[in-house]
Amino acid sequence: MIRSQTDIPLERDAASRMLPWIIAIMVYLAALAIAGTLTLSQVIRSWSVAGTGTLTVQVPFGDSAAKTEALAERAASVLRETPGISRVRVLSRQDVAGLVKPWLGPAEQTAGLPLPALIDASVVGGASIDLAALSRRLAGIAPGATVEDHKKWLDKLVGFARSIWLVTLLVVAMILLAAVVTVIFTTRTGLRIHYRVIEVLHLIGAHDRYISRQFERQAVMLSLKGALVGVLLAVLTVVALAHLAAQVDLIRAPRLVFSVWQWGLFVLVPIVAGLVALYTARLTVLRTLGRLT
Amino acid sequence: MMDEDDPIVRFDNVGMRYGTGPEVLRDINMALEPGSFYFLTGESGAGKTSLLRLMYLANRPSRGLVHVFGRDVSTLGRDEVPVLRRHMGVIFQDFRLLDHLSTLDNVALPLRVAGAKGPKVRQHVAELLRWVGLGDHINAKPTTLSGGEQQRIAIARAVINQPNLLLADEPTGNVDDNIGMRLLFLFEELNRMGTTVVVATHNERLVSRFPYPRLVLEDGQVTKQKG
Ligand SMILES: Nc1ncnc2c1ncn2[C@@H]1O[C@H](COP(=O)(O)OP(=O)(O)OP(=O)(O)O)[C@@H](O)[C@H]1O
Ligand SMILES: [Mg+2]
Repeated sequence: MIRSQTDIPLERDAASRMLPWIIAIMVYLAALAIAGTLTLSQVIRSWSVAGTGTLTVQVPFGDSAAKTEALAERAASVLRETPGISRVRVLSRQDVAGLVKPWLGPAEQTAGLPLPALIDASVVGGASIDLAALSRRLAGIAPGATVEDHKKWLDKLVGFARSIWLVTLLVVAMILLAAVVTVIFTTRTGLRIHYRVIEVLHLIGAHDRYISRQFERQAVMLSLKGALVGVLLAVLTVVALAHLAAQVDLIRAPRLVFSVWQWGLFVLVPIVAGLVALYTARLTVLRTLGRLT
Repeated sequence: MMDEDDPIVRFDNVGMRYGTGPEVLRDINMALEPGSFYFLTGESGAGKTSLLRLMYLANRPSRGLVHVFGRDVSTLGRDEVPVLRRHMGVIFQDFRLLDHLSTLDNVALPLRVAGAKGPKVRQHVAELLRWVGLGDHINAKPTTLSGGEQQRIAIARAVINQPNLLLADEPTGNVDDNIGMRLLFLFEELNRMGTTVVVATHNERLVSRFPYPRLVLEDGQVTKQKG
């Protein structure tokens, strides 16, 4: 059109110049909170997939490796007779050595150590097993044997993950609130600074909506700018962290960390920031002007 | 909006004060017929600007009734005021131009505020600016222009949408009589096409060259005099 400028010179306001930076910081924090929680629930999910419906029995080392193995076999036969349990497998000494390798070193070094024996068992879907009674029976055969019920532990883990999500939602909501307050403040400051210009616009027949549109456009532009910077920094941070994590074998390669829709959340953040800015600016202008007469 | 021969502006026992100050206007009764042309005179501080402010709805009367375009202004909703103002053109005594906008954008503002856009607006505005002698300053910012030039921007902005009511507050205060005459001819032109015109001015020489009636403000009261 015939001009690039707005009727109200908002772009020169000090508050307007601060807005993108404040929004960038807020968006960065929100995106990181979401990314951290996504990663955590991802990890928890992978544990729960591996662990649902299984039971592990640990038989402590008894005098010699051979005796430990014999005790484990007797405990396994008890398990096989227990209704609701299928597929019982005594882990070989190599398997156990493999499990402790990250902590105790390669098999050659652990050969002489008093490692316990482990028994894996699957629980038939839907079956409920009296774990206390089972523990007592196993302890009678192999003193010190313990039963680990993954499900119980996983239930707790899932509950934990859920509370982490709640906290994250709370954090994001608070950041959103802070963003709204910032936009309100910026808009009110603009209304005050440009009081004369707004008065002239009114006098030549502008509706309040015409004036609010100028503030909306400005708030959306600045917020989008800030949000894009914030999201970009957050993505870079996540990728860098994932790289570091991959180096110490904590999680898989960075591009596998999130699924497509989870990356989509990051795209959503600037859109939400823009929409929040739009409606906050509009309502602030309309309410403030509406109070004048 | 109103009947053919309803007055454009009507005052019934109008009084006006600023805040808790004294009444600057009192007991004003008058009616401006559609298509009329009035000079509004009175010495400095007599209340000319105040009277115009009542007409362009910047102030409400502290007593009495003001009707503009047939509407009782005390019953107007916030959304209705801009609609009425789009049928008015106001030349403010202090111009009230937007300094960050070019001459062209300042004059185009009433059109844009009313929703018009496109190359036609630009063409129309440029034409009017040439007419008021600002053809060479289309892209200048008002602060870089002389007082008289700024005044002509204000005038162009007031007449750009061919208002039904033109309210001019000292529109010739900063220009010599030649340009002053030229501007009044512009108002006459608009008046011939149906615009009701009220020109507040001190300039006796200019007033005496036109045959129009006067509204004379004295002691806060208005008397009509034949031109
Ligand atoms: N905003 C205001 N607040 C308080 N008093 C005001 C205000 N504006 C004008 N007045 C007072 O109202 C009276 C009329 O002022 P007004 O501006 O209407 O006069 P005027 O005829 O336009 O004068 P001039 O020819 O100097 O422009 C003056 O006594 C002035 O002091
Ligand atoms: Mg005045």
